[in-house]
Amino acid sequence: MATETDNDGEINEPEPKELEFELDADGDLGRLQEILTIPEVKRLRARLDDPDVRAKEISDIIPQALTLSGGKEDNHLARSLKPTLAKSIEDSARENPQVLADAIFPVLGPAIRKSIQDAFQVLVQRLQMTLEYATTAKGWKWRLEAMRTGRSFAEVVLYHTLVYRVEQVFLIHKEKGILLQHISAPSVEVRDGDMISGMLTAITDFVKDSFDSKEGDELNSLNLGDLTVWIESGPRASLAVVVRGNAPFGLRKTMQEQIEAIHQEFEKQLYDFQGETVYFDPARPRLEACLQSKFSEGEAGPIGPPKSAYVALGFLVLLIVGFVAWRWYHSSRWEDYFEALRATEGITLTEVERRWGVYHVRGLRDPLADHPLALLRERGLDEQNFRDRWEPYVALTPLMVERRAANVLKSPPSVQFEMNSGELTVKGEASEVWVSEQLPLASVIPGVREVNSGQLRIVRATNSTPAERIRTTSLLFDRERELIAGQEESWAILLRSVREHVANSDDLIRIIGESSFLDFGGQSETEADVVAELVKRNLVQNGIPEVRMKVEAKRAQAEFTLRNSRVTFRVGGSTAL
Amino acid sequence: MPSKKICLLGATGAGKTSLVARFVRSMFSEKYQTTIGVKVDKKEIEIAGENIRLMIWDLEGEDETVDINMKYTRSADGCLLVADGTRAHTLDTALSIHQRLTDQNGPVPCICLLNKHDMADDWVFTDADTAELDKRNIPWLNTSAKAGENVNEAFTDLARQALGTS
Repeated sequence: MATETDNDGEINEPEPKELEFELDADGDLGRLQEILTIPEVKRLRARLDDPDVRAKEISDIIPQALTLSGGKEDNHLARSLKPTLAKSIEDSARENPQVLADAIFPVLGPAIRKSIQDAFQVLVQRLQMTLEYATTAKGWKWRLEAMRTGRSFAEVVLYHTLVYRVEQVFLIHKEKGILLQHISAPSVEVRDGDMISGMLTAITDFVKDSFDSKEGDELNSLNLGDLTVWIESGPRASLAVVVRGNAPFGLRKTMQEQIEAIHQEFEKQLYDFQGETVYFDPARPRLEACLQSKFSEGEAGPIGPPKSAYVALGFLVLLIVGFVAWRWYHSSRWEDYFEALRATEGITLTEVERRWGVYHVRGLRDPLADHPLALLRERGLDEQNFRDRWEPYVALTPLMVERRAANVLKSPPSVQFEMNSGELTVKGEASEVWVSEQLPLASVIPGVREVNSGQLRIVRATNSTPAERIRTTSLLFDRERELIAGQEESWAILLRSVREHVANSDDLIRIIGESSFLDFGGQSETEADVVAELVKRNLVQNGIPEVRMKVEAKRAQAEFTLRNSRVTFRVGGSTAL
Repeated sequence: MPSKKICLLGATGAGKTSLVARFVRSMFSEKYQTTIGVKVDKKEIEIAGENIRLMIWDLEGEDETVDINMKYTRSADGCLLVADGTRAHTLDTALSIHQRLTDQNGPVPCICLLNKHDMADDWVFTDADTAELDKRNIPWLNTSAKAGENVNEAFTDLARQALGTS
């Protein structure tokens, strides 16, 4: 058996032949082994010892080995080669930079051009903004702000105009136009991302074909109103963002970083893409990094309008709440007052109206009822905000009847009244004179159907003076100016007391007439004067000197509600007057 | 869900857009075909229990004055070549496009649709024409966008070819 080497250096192994003879177990087999193995061992040794042969053999299998290793998931070969390659490139660059420069020139050229273009675009955008805001009112306001805060005007303009929101981010397969991933900001209306991606790719191709573009040029911006579509392309995929407002160029940088990272992380999936998009789900965080937004001018600044606006708004809200609370409190105090008025006996409210902050009140009021103003003062309410108009009436509630009885009957403090179901009960202590002269009048008080004086104790007025008896006398006359029946004794006591007093004193007896009847001219004073004069004449006829008496007439008091005339007496003053 | 790029190619008036309109509800106006030269639609179908998303690129029709932009067919997963059965030269146009497509992209699954089959009286294609298609290994179907004949079948068969399941 022999091994042949052809002209190319390849080793041709002869086909093994079947042994057709028997061998001697000891000597023959050993020799045969020597014959067969020694040349082979020599040949292998020579092959291993010869670097040229080994190098040639290895060079033949290296490409195949690299291909096989590159297909493996762990890519161990790439990791192993990395330090050597890095060192090799470093040495090469140090020794002869021109070689490396020449090699990367095709890449470097477009990259530098793109970088310069971006820088110019930033410059132009800033210049445009500066010009735009240089002459407007807003521009002047921002200029003042720049002076106040010590920042440059351009900074302030940018500060106020960098308001944007990335609404959608698309990751698109560059050749197929198929949407690989898509995310959108909350509450953004999203139309069909797949079709948009396809059309966007078509439009990009259309623009590139329509205008004599150079290799590597890409459509990277579309504008529509306040919407902008920015596109950053890599070799296999593009990242497109839809921005509302003025996006900063920092966003462009973010997009570039993300599309580069996506190409690194998904290189195999992008190159072998067969339409399965699920492999790109892990790229979502890369897209989310582009989903940036910045709202409201001055949000991040130390002196932004929103802050002061919020303070003003808060103050306004507080003011409104305070005003409403004060109005409610104020209004409720007045409401409480009107409720108290309605609950007051002798008062009937018919109308309450508020005009220009002033309450106008109308109603009926018994003159003996509590006074509305007194109630108002008790509650500390401002009288300036209150106008009232009352029509007098006679209330027949128990309290009003009791007050009327005390008023009409001129009861001493020791007498109390109690009204119950039309019966007026008189309690306490009273003089004999009062009982005889005043109490009989109780039956004519409106609302009183019966008088019960069973609980009244009569005190004998043995020690009362003539003057006291005169002062407590009250004579009632009817429309015919006749003394009402039952007062004869009162007249007799009066006459006796006046005689006695006149004899012992210089005091003037004042005869005071009152009347609820009107004369023909509508004057109650005239009738009162006539009645008082009548009493005086009778006293003169009974021997009382006329000069010791004086007639007075007065308007019927509101509380004097009896339908008659009355004459009362006062003692005091000198006749010399 | 896998996505496949399908292109509709053919002569002007061959009925490509009518076939798409029969198959999908469009989001974009047809004006894009005459402006940028293509309109992209979408249809999701089910093949062998698997959902597949077809992105249908309906290209502008080709005639003496207009050449279609073959760049739009880059990386297409399948193409429908549409010819008008009442106009003989439209098949030549379809075959010409097929040649350019193959030159640019290499072999791409294709089906030739002999459209307007409902107009039997005006039908001009002969067995020789279909034999030419067979010779070039291009599967073909008689279709009618108007009657709905073989429309779904055309897209579904092409999707199967694109998936490699046919």
